[in-house]
Amino acid sequence: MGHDAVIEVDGLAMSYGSKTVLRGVDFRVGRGEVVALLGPNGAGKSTTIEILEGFRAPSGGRVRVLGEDPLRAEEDWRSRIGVVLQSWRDHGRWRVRELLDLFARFYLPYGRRTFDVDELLEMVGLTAQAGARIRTLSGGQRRRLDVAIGIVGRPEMLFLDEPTAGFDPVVRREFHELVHKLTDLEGTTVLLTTHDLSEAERLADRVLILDGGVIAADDSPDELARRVARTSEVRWLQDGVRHVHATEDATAFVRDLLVTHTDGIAELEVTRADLEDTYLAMVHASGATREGGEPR
Amino acid sequence: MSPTASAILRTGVRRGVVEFRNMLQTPSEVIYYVVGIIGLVIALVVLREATLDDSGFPLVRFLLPGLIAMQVLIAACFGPATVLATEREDGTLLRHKSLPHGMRGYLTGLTVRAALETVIALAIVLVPATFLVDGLWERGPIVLLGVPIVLLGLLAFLPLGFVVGSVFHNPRAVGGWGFVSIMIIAIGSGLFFPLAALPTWVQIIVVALPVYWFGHALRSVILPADAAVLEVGEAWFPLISLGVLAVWAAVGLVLAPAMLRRSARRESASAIERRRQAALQRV
Repeated sequence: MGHDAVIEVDGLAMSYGSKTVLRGVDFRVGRGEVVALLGPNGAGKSTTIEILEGFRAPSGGRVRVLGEDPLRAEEDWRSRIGVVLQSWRDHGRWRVRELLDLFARFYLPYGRRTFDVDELLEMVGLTAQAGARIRTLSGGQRRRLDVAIGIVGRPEMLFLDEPTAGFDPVVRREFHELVHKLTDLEGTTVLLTTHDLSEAERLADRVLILDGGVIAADDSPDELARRVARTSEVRWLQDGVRHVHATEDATAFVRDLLVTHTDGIAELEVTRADLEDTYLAMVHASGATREGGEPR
Repeated sequence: MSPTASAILRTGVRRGVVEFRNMLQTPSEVIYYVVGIIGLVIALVVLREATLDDSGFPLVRFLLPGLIAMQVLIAACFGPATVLATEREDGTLLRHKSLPHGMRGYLTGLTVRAALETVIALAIVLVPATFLVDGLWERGPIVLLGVPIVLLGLLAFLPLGFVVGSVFHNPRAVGGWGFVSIMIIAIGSGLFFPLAALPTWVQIIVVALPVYWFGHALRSVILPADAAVLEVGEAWFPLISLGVLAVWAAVGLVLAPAMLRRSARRESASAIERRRQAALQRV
């Protein structure tokens, strides 16, 4: 990464009054990376992303996005950033195409190659709704419009805060394809927050787990799972009875099992911990240390 | 003007025009105007024969400049204040904060919308009044001086609306208390009867506010010259009235951007979400 880091965060701290939310967050995001910020409710995911977007002043630490301090950056910097926040309810009277077209115009003075509005509507699957008023859209359509507005200026850096909250599985799948398209075609760097582990697994090159005000883990989804997956679960059916066994060495256990019972074993299944188990294990571990070591 | 500034201006104007058009396409807003017109026509017909007590001056003629002033006050001050408070809560402001020079475009749009609404509001008073009020246009071209006076009024009231909309956070409070305050100021400022009818201490407060002088300036070009006896001091004070409006406009234009910047800076998605939750709990 080195010079190509799009986001640099060092010792980021944030407190509201006496409540400390972030107590020293460090991470880097390289150009073209898709990074998921994961954590329990109230872990400070949204706070972190709002600081990076320049909407909130941190209590301490150093933050650079595209090489600049988000709080002091000029409008030119703003034109290179795309923002999709949680829960919009605005512009209900506007028509879809009209609003997207208006927002595209804000980027023109900066020589940005904005998306063609109709092409973008096609891309997010809202062509049929182009003339509809925004208040008549479904939740999923509304969210896709939010994403379209976030990317209309072809941002170098895109922030997505809980992008698929409230989506049904079909819409969620469509949204994931959209993000893939964006990162593949445009090389956009993406930082997203999510509750949804399968979403992080599907979208992200790297997962940051934020817990107790610090980054508790920073790795690829696979690597994270491998690190925690010391135990595997072996399930099988023996003479019509279901068995489950947890073991640290699944290979040896299965070999033994099959040697001992040459007959009558069916539906053998070995599962290694997935990201969800990893996540729960990590949040649980840091929660335990936190309760012991809460500073004053 | 730099190419960037003129591009933002064009985008903002476009926003204002679309907002205005959207408003005209919203039934509840159109009904508000229709009810206004009906109420005005009824009032003008019912009060046709009435006169101001001592002077024998026709009441409806005296009322007209006041009604125009109140319409401008609502369209240029109360309207934008409510819109600003509402759109801060629903995320419109934050959305613009995420765009390059988005706030400037937003405020340009709000200004354009308020100006267009003022034009409609003026037409709503002037068109029926032309048919129902005798002598409305008897001063001929002098009445046209009302146009620059209304423009100056816009400049004085619009920044006030922006300040009110950014200071008070609850859109329902701005809508409710704001409307009550505007009516009290309009009545207290002698828009509907000569100020001399009110106690002296009220008169002293009122002449420091722009609304009295706005009404005074409009009366000076719409009413006959000898109606000056109905004014405080029994004379027309064109320079003072324009001067007071200009000072308020200047103060507002300095104050409003700073207040707006401050209120926009504190805006964030979690703050909006917090207020949304609070609003849900009130219901």
